Amino acid sequence: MQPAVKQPGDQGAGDASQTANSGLRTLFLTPTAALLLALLGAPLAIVLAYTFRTRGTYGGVTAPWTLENWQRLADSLYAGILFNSFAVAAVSTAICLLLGFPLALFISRAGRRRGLYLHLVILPFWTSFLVRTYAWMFLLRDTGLINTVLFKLGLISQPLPLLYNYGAVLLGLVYTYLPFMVLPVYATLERMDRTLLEAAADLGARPLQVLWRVVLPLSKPGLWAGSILVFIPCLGAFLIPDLLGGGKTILVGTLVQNQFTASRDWPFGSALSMALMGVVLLLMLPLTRKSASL
Amino acid sequence: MGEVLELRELSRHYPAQRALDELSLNVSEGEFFSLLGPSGCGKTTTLRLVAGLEAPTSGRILLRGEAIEHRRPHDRNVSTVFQNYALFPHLTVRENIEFGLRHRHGGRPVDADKRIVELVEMLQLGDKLDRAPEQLSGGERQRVALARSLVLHPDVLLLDEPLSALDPNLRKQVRDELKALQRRVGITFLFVTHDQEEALYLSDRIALLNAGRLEQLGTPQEIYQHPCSRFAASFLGRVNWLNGTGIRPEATLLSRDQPANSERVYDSVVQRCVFLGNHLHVEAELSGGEHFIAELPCNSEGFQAGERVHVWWRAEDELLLPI
Ligand SMILES: Nc1ncnc2c1ncn2[C@@H]1O[C@H](COP(=O)(O)OP(=O)(O)OP(=O)(O)O)[C@@H](O)[C@H]1O
Ligand SMILES: [Mg+2]
Repeated sequence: MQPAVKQPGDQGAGDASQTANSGLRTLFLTPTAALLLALLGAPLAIVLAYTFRTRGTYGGVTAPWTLENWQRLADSLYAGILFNSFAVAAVSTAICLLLGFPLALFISRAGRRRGLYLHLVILPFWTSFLVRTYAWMFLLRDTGLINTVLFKLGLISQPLPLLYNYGAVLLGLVYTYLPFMVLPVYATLERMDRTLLEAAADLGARPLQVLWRVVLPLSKPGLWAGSILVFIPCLGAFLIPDLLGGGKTILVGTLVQNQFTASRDWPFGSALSMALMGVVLLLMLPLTRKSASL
Repeated sequence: MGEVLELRELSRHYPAQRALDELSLNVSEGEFFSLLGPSGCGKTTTLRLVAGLEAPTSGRILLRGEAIEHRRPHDRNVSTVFQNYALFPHLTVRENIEFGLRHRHGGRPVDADKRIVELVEMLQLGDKLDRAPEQLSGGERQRVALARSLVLHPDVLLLDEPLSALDPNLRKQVRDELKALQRRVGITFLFVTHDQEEALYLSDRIALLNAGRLEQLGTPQEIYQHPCSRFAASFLGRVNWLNGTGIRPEATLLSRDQPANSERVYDSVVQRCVFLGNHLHVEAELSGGEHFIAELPCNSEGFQAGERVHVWWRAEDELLLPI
């Protein structure tokens, strides 16, 4: 936005600089826009086209155009899976909120240690996501570290069922996406005007009341941003449900992946992913607008 | 009049600096008390210590006779008007004003609604109650900040340069309103400023601070007429200095003829003579090189630059500084 107040005299100069600005903007935005259009738009268009084709025997798609793939989505089986996926993503996001907000708050008040703690939050990204997920499998499985230690200590006689269930999937999702919650929340907390917190205390609010009535409402933009950043990838996740859920927990991400691999039904896989995208877009539209306006 | 607030040898030391060093003073019930001093002299530090936003290195703070220096900010019946007002941006004006009422001891006061109505009327905020702070002008924000604190009936209201964020014209007007408001609500004000004119205009008493220490404490008149040091004399108003003797510009006289009845007469040369509306501002250089300023009544006849004149004054107008 242009500044609201303009000197009457430099109307012309302002316009000129605005033209120069928009020229510069075009220059800077063109490569990114072109890249996005080519690498995101084109494949999406292809996937959309696939949804109206017939499956090939060995994968791929063949000639006849059809609406059958979309009609299959109406099956209540898929609605159930979609619902499960939303539930898992929502619970993961909620846990990330509950863990991420206090963590971000702690880091934002850690003084000179802040840099160190932020690095620790980002540290897992330095190893491959796949390796980290396998590491969890080694920790959680029946003969894994946790069960072995508990067994050796005589605390259990049967291995605890830690792997291949919703709990393990949630654990994996929260572990993986927690930093995406912490970082935006931290950013809003960091920007927050400290005198507002002092003013609240000065007006008689106890520390918890300050947190509830001032810090939390003012963190909303970060909480929204973090929630969106966690919720969307959780919804489409397929590796974690696959590896830690052991295929017992069918979520929409795994389902889509299966269509392209084991089932060799590309058109239906495409329809599924398009449907998922549509639902997410519908859901997120008001949210992104909200988080932008906050 | 009883004491509301008493500071006893209050200190706040930082590793590199003594922000406040053994400040002792009493503030009486209903008083408009100002902390005045140059930038960095410890004014804000004093307010923050009283509010509990900072802990003293040593010393005591008594509020109505009770030691409060170890109490948390929410547990002290004082309230602060912050320099940037610190209004809650996510709350409306009304919600800002009501913010503190919920947290009072024993819950929301029974007369809370009455207090709000009164203050809102007094501060002319009636049509702004549902606005967000960002939709208010600077002066309106300041009034909301005042209402938010005053509605709690604090024992002392702490104000940290509340006028400095306003533009100069508005400042004078708000200054008058602030004084009237204080008289009307009868609440004790502890007011911080680095503007001597503001302090003179508003205060019942002034504590002049210098580098973390109390320089002088007294009514505006006492400090202006009987400053205890060169610093005090120069900070409150202007002073001409000659061999350690101070003379206020308005007591400095100029004449073309030799004045008969004074021994304090010095030959000098006029450098500048400016008509400033309410007085004639004359700058002159004494033969010893001292720079003198005289403020003459506006109906005096003017002087030419370069003109030779006599600068003189009456003995009783000299500022007596204890050495
Ligand atoms: N947190 C801090 N750490 C170190 N020194 C500080 C700190 N806070 C204040 N000081 C120092 O203490 C001194 C007094 O600060 P204070 O804010 O009370 O000054 P002030 O009188 O309010 O000045 P101003 O008129 O500029 O607001 C300053 O010299 C400042 O540098
Ligand atoms: Mg200050």
